Amino acid sequence: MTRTHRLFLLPAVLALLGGCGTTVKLLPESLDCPVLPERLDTACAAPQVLADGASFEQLIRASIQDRQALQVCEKRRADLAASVRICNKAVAEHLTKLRELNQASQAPR
Amino acid sequence: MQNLIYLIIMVLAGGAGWYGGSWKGRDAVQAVARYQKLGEEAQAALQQAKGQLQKDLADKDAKFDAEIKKLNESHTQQIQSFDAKIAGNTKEIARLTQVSAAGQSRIAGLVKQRDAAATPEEKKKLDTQIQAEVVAQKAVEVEIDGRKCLPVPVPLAVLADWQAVKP
Repeated sequence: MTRTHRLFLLPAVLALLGGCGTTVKLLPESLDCPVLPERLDTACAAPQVLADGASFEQLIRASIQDRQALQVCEKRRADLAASVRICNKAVAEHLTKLRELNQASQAPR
Repeated sequence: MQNLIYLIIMVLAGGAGWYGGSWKGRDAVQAVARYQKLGEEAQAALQQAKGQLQKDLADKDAKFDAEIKKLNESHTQQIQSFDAKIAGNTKEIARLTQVSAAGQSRIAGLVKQRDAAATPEEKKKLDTQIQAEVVAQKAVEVEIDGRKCLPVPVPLAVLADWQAVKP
């Protein structure tokens, strides 16, 4: 067998040996919490500003705007809290499932 | 012949070694198979959990978007209603002033009737009517006063308290 023949044979042998190996994925990736970045980055609106000399009409208008902003802000807070709750629940359920699988795989045979 | 016996012995020895080795490694092979199965099951569980999580979050997002939309619509209507009231403020004050004048006339008439009442029952009945008219009149005057205040500047000392909380 010439040197060239041996060089061609090497990859074939390595491929065959590779087939003998078993790849075991011991640590699957973890469960993340895919909350949209724009929802995390949104801040509450700042309170309205009134200059000296503002009328009662302007005061009432500013109060209407602030009330609206407060309601939106609370909705956003509640939405983020709901996201965290949903994610926590999903993680807890997933962990329970993993523990069950782990326990089942360790059961005496 | 002797070489053949050696060959047979070598083959048998090789076979015994192979068998012994595979026996000893059987547990390890089974463990690897077990871990492999566990890994696959864990991966499947992860995909299922991810799918459910994305669905739950999408449902929540849709609900949130609908609530914000409703809130914004309600706010727009509120501002439109407020603007309309402000735009028609002078006209409304004029209308309420006429209502007030008519109310005053009605009260004056009822007072006259009560003073001229022939029986205590009639007098009591007219008193009740007068009280109702006075209450209604007071409400109209409060409305006129309030509306007259809308374009008036807020007293600086009062406004300063409102401005005290800075953004």
